[in-house]
Amino acid sequence: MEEQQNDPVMERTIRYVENDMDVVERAAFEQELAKDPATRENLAAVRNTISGLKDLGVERLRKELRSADAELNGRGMAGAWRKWWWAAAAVVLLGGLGWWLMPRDTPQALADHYAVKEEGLPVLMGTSPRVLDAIMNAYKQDDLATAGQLLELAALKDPTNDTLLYFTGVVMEREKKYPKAEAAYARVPGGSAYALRAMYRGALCALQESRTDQARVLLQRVAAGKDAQLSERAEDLLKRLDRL
Amino acid sequence: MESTLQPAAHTEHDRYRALYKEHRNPFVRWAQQRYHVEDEEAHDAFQEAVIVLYRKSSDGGLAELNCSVRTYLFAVGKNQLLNRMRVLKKQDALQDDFDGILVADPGIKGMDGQEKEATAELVRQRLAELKPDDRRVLELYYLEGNDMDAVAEAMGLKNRNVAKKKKHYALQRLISLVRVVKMLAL
Repeated sequence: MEEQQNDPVMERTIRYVENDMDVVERAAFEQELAKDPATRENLAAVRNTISGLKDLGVERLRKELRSADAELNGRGMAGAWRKWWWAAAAVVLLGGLGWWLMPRDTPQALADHYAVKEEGLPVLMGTSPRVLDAIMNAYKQDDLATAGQLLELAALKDPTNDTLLYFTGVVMEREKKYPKAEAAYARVPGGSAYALRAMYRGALCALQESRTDQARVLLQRVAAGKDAQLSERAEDLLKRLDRL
Repeated sequence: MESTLQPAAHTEHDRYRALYKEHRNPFVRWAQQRYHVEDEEAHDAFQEAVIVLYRKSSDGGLAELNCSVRTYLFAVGKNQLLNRMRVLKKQDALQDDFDGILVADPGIKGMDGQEKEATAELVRQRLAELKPDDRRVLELYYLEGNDMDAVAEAMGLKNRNVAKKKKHYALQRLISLVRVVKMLAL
């Protein structure tokens, strides 16, 4: 397990923001705040991040309230449904006909719809440039050809590096070279931090190639994985595939 | 120490959802009688009222509440309707039935809407990069509004102090990821 690193300065700033200080410590912190720009900068970083997290909480609650609306409206509709069941039945029939006549999902359309943008890794701003920094610089500037070449060179030295394998897949995928991307994703080791992302992306590549069975196998593994966001997307996509 | 990553049995959000389901229809009937608004307008206003209460609670402001939760929600809901109708220049149709109840603006001072949205998006992206149990501890506390005891229980941790320490570590990691991106953007 990774060593937990604590930064006492940030820890103290977090406690200040979350009102978890006694009066004396608070006063001392505020004095320091008045004098030290770095403390003020830390405070802004902590406040922004916590505020962002809370906003995500509000967004999530809003969704839950909308689903509560759907439940409440459904309950209210029961009476109306009994009253107007002929009209409702006609609407359902027409709706069904419309649905039947509508263009259906295709594996490729689903793959595009469920695609997740890969932002790339942060580029460190140290004095000794690293290969991965150069790769990420090229990737972030959408220079996929350079990123691909650098990845290829780096992989010659370190062919089992999971980061290189994963980003090779990402670059290939963005260049629409789906079989090559899928092969690179498949080589990302199961224990890697990229494993689930690679499986998910591999599944989308398989869909682009119309190989839905292979996509299903990968998506089921992602759905059972520990990445809550990817797991939810994979489950959703599996349901859509069942309706193809 | 391994954590079990269980969902919290009853999250704070469940409480707000229950509050919403309990009081929404009475609010809608009341709003329709008084202000002749559409269902959708009343639903939206009442959702915002519950969100305002949730924000107030997460900022530790519930102790200041000097009325019942129902009265507070109706007052905030009414103010939401008032604001919407002001925009539509319909303010003449409104009466102030809940004067005297102070309703705070839920916005965070000093950050405009766009900046807030951008920060939330940035935090969402970086959150996804954290290890699953780091992400979960932050979700349980900040996104689902659970207290430290509930976080400890949901994650199979020994007690609230261990959970709090874990939350601090995870938050520090998230802050540093957000900072790196902001530095690169400068």
